[in-house]
Amino acid sequence: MKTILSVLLIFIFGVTYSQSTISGTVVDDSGLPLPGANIIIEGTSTGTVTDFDGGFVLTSNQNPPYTVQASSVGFSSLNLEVTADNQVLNFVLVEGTSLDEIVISASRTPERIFESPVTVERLGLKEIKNTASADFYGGLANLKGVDVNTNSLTFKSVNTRGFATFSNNRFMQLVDGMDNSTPALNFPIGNLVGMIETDVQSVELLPGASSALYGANAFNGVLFMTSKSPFDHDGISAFYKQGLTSQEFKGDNNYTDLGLRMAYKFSDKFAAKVNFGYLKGTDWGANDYRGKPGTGATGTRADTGYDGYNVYGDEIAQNIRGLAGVGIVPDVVVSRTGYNEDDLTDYNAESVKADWAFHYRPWASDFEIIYQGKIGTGTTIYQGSNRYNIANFKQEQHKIEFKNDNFFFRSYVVSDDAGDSYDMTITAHQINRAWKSDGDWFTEYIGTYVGATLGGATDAQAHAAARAQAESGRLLPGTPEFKAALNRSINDPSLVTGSKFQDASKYYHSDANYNFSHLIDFAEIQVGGSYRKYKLNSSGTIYTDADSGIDYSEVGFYTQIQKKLLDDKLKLTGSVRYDKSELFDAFFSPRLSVGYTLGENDNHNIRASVQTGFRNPSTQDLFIGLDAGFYYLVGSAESNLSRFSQDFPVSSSGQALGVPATITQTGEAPYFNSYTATSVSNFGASLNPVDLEIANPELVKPEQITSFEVGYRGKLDKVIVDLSVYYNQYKDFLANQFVISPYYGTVGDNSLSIAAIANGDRKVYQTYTNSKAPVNSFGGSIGASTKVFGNFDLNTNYTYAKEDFDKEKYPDFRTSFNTPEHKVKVGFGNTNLFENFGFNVAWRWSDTYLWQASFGDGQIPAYHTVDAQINLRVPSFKSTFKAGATNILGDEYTSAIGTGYVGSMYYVSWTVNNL
Amino acid sequence: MKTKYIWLLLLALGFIACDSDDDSSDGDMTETLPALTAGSANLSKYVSLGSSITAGFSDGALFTAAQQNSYPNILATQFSLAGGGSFTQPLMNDNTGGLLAGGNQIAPNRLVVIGLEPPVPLADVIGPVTPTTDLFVNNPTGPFGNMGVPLAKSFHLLAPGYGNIGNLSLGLANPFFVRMTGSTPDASVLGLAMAQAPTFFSAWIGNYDVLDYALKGGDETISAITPSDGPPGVGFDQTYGAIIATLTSGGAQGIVANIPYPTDFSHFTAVQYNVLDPTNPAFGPLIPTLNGIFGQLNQVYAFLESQGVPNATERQIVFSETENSGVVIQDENLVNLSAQITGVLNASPTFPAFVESFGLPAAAAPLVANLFGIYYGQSRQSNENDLLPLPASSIIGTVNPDAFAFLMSQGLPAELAGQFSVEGISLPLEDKWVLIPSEQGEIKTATNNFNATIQAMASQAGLAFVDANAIVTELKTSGIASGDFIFTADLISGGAISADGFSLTSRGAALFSNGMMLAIDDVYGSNFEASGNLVNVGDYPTNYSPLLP
Repeated sequence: MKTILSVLLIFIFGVTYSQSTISGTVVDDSGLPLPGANIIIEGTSTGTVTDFDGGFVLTSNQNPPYTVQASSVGFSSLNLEVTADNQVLNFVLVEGTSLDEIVISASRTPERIFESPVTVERLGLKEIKNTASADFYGGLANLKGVDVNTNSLTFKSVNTRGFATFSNNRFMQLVDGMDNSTPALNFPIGNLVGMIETDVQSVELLPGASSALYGANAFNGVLFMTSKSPFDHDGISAFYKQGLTSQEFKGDNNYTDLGLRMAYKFSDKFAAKVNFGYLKGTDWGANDYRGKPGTGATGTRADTGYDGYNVYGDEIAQNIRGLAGVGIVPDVVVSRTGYNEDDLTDYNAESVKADWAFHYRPWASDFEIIYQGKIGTGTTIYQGSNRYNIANFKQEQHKIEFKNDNFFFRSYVVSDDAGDSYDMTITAHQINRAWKSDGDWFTEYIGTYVGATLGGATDAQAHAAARAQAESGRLLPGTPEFKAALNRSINDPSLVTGSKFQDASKYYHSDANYNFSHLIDFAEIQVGGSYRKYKLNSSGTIYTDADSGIDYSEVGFYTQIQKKLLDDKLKLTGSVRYDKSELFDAFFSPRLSVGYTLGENDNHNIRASVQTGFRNPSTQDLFIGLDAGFYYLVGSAESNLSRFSQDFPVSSSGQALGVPATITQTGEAPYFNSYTATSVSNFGASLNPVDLEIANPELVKPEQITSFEVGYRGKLDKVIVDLSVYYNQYKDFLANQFVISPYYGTVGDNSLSIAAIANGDRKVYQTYTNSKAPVNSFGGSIGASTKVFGNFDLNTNYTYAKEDFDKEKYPDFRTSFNTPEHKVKVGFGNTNLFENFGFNVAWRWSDTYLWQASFGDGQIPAYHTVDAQINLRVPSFKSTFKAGATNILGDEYTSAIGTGYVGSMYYVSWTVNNL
Repeated sequence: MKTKYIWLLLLALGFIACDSDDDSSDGDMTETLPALTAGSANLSKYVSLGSSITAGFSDGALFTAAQQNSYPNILATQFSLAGGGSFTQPLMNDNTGGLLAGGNQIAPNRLVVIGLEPPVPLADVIGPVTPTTDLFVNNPTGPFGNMGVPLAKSFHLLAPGYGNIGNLSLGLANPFFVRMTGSTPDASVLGLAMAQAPTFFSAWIGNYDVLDYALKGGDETISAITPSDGPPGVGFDQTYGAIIATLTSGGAQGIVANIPYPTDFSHFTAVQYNVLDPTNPAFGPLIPTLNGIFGQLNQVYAFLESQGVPNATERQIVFSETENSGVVIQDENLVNLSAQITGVLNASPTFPAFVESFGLPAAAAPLVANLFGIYYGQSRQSNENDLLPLPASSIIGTVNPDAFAFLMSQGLPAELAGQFSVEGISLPLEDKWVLIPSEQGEIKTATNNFNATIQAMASQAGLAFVDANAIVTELKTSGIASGDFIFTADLISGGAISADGFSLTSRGAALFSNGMMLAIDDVYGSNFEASGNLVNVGDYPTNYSPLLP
């Protein structure tokens, strides 16, 4: 707070000294002013941006003559000579195409998209300003090849090229070079602790593997968000967005999103900025009460074993005949009555974030030292194996960076605090147990069932009577007793009695990169490296770190050579990266790409690349030890196996075999003494021990991908086309396998272990391993954009994605491809339909697809959605007013099983001084 | 000029079209089953023949609720979906199960189950029961599709006068059939069935030909197994042949079921041979005394064996104080050692003193020795090869009034007479309470013979056939899964066998009906199974409330 205050004081009282002043305007070729264009004195870092009317004033201590460059995204840049003080410069910029935009991510060096060696997408200032989505992050959904899965209102999960759940640790998100993933979860929580809209300079998205440059986890893709430098963009800008979310289930709710950016350039040497963002709304309520597949014929509570997607507590289920062992008790699974998700959360969606940065250029040159801090706290819903109410979650990042045009070194720390987060599924279990233990509940159920049957009831009548009796004493939502039990559970971090998450994990990361291009001529050579150290600390609520924290580290080095040949028409790029995690063998990941520009006007570019990627098992894959209700998640790091330990009661039949009343299983059980879950259910049906298959999954190791890609970019008359086709080969696919460990006996012994299975003396585990199944995927995308009817922007793209996997051969393996085979997106807009008025409409269609995730599987129906906005610029107030709506058709949809249906959002916003 | 972007729109529109295609195919997820057909079967007039289970007898009695869930009625209900006509049953007047003849109760009330405890008579739960079905008063009017007559054996189906009230007192009529004969008191069961000109029949005939003997503990003085040989009306084979020939004479189609081994029923397996529990306070404290008394007898057996009587020591009786013990039974296959026992005891110099220890004068020793001889001449303790029918459980440990009266008449004091009249402990269980291995063998042989006849006749006549014997055996061994249930042959808890231990629960009847429909599908090309018209067993109860009006 002190820091912020002092910065504010500097803004107010700061004084600068100037010697020479020039001024002017920047307009486009139709005479419209271009706000936000960059004005820079060539060869210096002295510059400014144009204001709302396209005007600028630049003061410098440079003496004429010198050259001033004006550039704006989407326009060709223009240089003008300054020959005298107080000269007026009027720039007229010619609109370029999206292919001329500059990206950095694809080769870690600036280059035009047109000649980038791999597929890369960019969301520039123009797109961000004109997006019809409620925020820029949502606008990513309009890019080709991009899937945005809506976890909740404020937590959207971005992915490319398939294989994503909400815990998408195959996809990387870098904010100003910092990995934004949450230490506890291993993936970024959308933009919850990301960037505010008015601070966004550009967003680049690199689909596909790129471990050669970005190391582990740059596997499915990388999202780069870059903020505005206070040197280039100073002043105060802000936005305020007010609207409502409308959903059939939760009705209409207010939605507020505001952001404030304050940047000030004190001198050529020092600049600083502070950003603040606040969002409050109501999340999409999840009311998919359909029973999960296999839990009953009707999919309603009428099924005895009903387990509704968004009903929790009903995962606690037993085969009552297995418990009772008599013929009048049916051979069916009966589940406890659960509570709707709606009863377990208030669906508050909130985010407060702030970040600040101090930029120092000690020699007023390109050498810069940056300290950047970010802190965000938020409340949202995350869906992993269960649904979690992430409440008052905090994430903090601090970075120090040294850089010039040729190198950077940055070091940062990311830490989190789970706040008041809790597992909604387990909460329901605990509330249920608060009024009746599972044992008592099933005893009463069976007792009543038997009594009713002997009293003449039919099966259905007996079940009804049994449930009615077992439910006696149930805490009803809305009562003070229910609320008390809920609060007790969500404030209790004990795994046995509560459902609160505790986490205060961290990782430290350092990156360095040096570009030798200013020293070596024959090719552009870069070298770099990174180091990361994880410090897990969940007090035993996520990881097996109840007794002590878990530390481990990873290190990597890379180099890249880029060479242009044949008159710069041919561009060859080769990269290789070495990575070593403390826990695994070292990896080399190479990348080779070739790009060739052809055509009379250099209008066509073809590219081909082979890239490799790898993904280290996440901290959860390695060190989790979590009770997911009816099964345990146990990570497969070697040291984790002994740290995980649970006691289980043995049935009376088991005790009759001489087994003690309680046994202890460690993490070794699922990995060294287990049957596959599928084979146990087959055995349950056939009672033939031959059907039992030993699982004993191997301990997890990194997953690898080799990606082949060819692509084309070109300007066909006025149509810009970008297409790519890829083929991905995965090896050692990281996978979860459900296994069942008997409490006694050794799997394959054909006696005791089978007795344990038959007696129900067994536990289900989700293990983390690598699939032996070969998994491939392929796909492609084509995008085309053009101007129609004069100055209307029309862009359309189509994405195809398909996995290639032998399901019959590996029935237990779930790939979680989770991606539609076909996606079509069309955008249509005009930034200047008439004076100062623009609009944009975005239509997206997604094919149906199978969603597979630990929370639940199911078919996602095809859906389409339309977002639209109109905006009015009022230059006199430096303001833009925007009114928009997302999902304007109101056809609610989900992109995953278990999340709330996405309804419509209507908003108006006022943005000030966002250049 | 504008053609260059039209293709972009076309591309987009193309996928909108895909969208709607996918929607329509997604919606069609429900599986449609084929329509029900009777195949070649003509189900328009269905008549069922059989005995207790066919009649809907359950829980040891015939009562309305269980009759409505008799397997013939379940079948008729399903048949009605495939061209079957109406089906009537001679329903009782109430749900007590009791049957009156002129106000006198001649058939007991039904059994009921409270908790998972052994079945008890209805009156034990709800107090005095007043049955209202009186065959002098309120007999139903036929003809009846369900011609199943409780307790009927094969030859009864041919017997004229089996339903004549006048024959009741002679023991030649069956009161349940008396209710059904109406204005033709001398008509036979088969005759009344044929009078309805059935197009389709079910016949589960022959159960009582073996079961009755088993139910009577193999006591031939009460009930004998029907002989295989002999003319129609006497021997099973020809009787059965005549019945099938008559039933099919008009071209009727049908289904027959064979006879389960009676000993597979829980009636014979529910009571363990070693039912005497030392922890039972009414029995345990007596064990030392009893062993003292039987010690005298055991010495006699030992002496007799030493004198060349083979295997006499196998008859020795010892009650364990730690484990359950077998009951004392009468085994008519044993050589009668009455005279030898009496002789040895009389010759024993210590026996008078033993007699005196019971407070009897030493002079009574010959009398007691004589009684020992009468009592234990053919006795032994039961072992794992013996089966005790269900009712034995309520007899064992009780004082047999006849024995008590006899001992009193012999001059024993009441207390002593009582002590020596305890069923299965001091008084060997009579033949009718035990199925000894030889009796079990007879039953099995007869069942096998009858079943061979049934199967031969069925295949000769081209009838559908249900292996009821295999079904009951499967119930007893592995259990049978149907619907949500895995039935077993266990009494009460198994779900298929009613409280009497030898007839079906209504849910068991549903299970059996499904078995019959499968057999009909097989032979006549109907599709009860494929069309989803088998019944859901869970819709039928296993038991009936004591309070059922």
